Amino acid sequence: MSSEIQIPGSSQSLVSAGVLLSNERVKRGISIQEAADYLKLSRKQVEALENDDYSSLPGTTFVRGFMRNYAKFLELDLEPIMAWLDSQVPNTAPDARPAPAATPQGKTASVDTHKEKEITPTTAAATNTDTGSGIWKWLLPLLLVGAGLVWYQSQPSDTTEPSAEAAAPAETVAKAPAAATPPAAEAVETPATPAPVPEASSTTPSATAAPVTPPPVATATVTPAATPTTPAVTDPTTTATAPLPTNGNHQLRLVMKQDSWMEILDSKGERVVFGTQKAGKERIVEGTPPFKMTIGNATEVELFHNNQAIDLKKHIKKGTTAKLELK
Amino acid sequence: MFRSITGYFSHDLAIDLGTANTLIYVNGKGIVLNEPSVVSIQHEASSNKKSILAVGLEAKKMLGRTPGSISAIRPMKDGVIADFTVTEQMLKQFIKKVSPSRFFASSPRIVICVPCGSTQVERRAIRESALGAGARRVELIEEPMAAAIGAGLPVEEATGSMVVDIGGGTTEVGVISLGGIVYSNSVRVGGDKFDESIINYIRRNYGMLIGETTAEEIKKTIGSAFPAPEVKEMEVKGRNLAEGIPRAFTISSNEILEALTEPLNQIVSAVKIALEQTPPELGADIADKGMVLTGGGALLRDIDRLLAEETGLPVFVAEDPLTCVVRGSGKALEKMDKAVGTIFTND
Repeated sequence: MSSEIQIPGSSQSLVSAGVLLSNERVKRGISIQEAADYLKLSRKQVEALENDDYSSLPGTTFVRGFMRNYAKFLELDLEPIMAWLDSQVPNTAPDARPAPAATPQGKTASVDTHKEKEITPTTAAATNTDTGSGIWKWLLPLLLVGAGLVWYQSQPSDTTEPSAEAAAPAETVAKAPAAATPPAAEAVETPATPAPVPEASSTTPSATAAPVTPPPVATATVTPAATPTTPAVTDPTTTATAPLPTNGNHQLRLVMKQDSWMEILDSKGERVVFGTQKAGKERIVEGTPPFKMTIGNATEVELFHNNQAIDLKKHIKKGTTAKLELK
Repeated sequence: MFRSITGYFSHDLAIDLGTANTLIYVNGKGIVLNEPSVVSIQHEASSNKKSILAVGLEAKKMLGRTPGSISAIRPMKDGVIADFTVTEQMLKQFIKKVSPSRFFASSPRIVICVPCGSTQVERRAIRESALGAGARRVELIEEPMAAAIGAGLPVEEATGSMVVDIGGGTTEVGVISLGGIVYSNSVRVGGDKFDESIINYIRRNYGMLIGETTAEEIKKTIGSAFPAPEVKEMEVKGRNLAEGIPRAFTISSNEILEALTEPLNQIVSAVKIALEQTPPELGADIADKGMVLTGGGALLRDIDRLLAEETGLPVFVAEDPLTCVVRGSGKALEKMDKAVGTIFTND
């Protein structure tokens, strides 16, 4: 009997569960038929169990079940037999992996407890990484959205208020680094600006990506842009009639009596003006005609095209919004 | 696409909402909760308000030991919902317990087991409870099917498998082949009926009154379904009905066997009826392979022996029978997206 049991180290492992069972049965003086009658199995099935021939038996779950019943009948210790079966016919039933309270009753096979012990640390680790990735799963999109917002806000836009900037050059300096890459290469200086105002004072979208060279010009006249085709936003503070551009561009002057939302597109479809213009402000823009314009609250806006007044009321079709095209 | 995203963030659950115990299985994590289906409720007399004091283990300790303002109740009776609102609250608490406290965690998809004998109204009540507890989608699976999957039976093969799930409230007998239930039957006999029978027997024969918890302890310690060569004894304390005073007395396993005869006979006859109704080809398969016992009732000593002697078929208890149903539902949950079809019930 002891020959069937190997003792490597402390834990016992069987050579064959079938041999153990048949030896015990013979020892107790029980015939195969008697065992089969008790277990309600056929003689062949009991023989198959004793010969470790599991192919002729219905399936792993049944082999394990019959084996347990047989071992119980012979009053044998279940643990080594089930451990041996684990290596021969692994349990196909779904595993209750980490369950701390999965085996509240003592009757359940101790094999399961072993499994639980083995798996517990890995599951603990898995849970940790799980919660970690859970945070990142949400943090990442949030960061992306945040970055997108910062980028959007840092975009140069025409809606910057020129007069405010002229009045507070220090503020503009502060703004300049915030504007990530001001593409303005040909900023036009205001006549009133005495000091070399940094280039970001009135930025314009431009094709040239040249780095900003501070033009410390303090001239009273508007300096023509380096690249003639690009529109430029000038910033006259008090002039009633602005000097016309000399480079063939047309000039639009907008005087806002009240707040007005507007969009002006030049011949290339680029936005020369876009956004809400504040009451009491004046905008002078240059660009190549035809201009397509949509001006909200048009009754409160005066428009001059090359110093010629244009009646916006004629172009109002609905409400107070004027839509027109200037050539 | 959307489902895969929400699935990534949510944790799908399989729930065995049993009369005695509620078990929850989380996809990829295994069984994360195994607690008694007991809720204790506090009544505030002044405002006539009810609030939940405890659920699960904590509430079970209060069972039968509560003052007037607290009631510990089992909202499930005979495998179905007896108290809809309390069940919903209990489910909510359990789901909250197992849900990771994660920012924006989306609501889970839930597979819940229902007794095969439950009516459409009862199934709807269970479904509504789960939806009320915050589920995104609810699938119902019949208990014999879940138990068979959990026990590791070859449910999808063209061979008959028989499973007997003895739960707290009901005993389900199912014959399964090709991923579907060929025959199923449910009798409202289970662990609770065993306890009740023990209480009645002791009152009748000893004139002593014992509580449910004591009855359960007797059942677990010396209860058996088949005469054993050795007789076990146990000392029990209860209230003497004639004197009205707590007394201790000794009861033997043979007496408990006698007490359990009636509910056990109901289970045996349910199994016999199932065998009678099974198509002959599947009956031949079952004669070869026998039947598998699952559920807490399968832990009653020698119940496999009783069924084997009564039917003449091989009977064995599944490994870890208490968790078979929830493990089987968990397996079904993993297959949920692959639309196995017949595994889940439609109504």
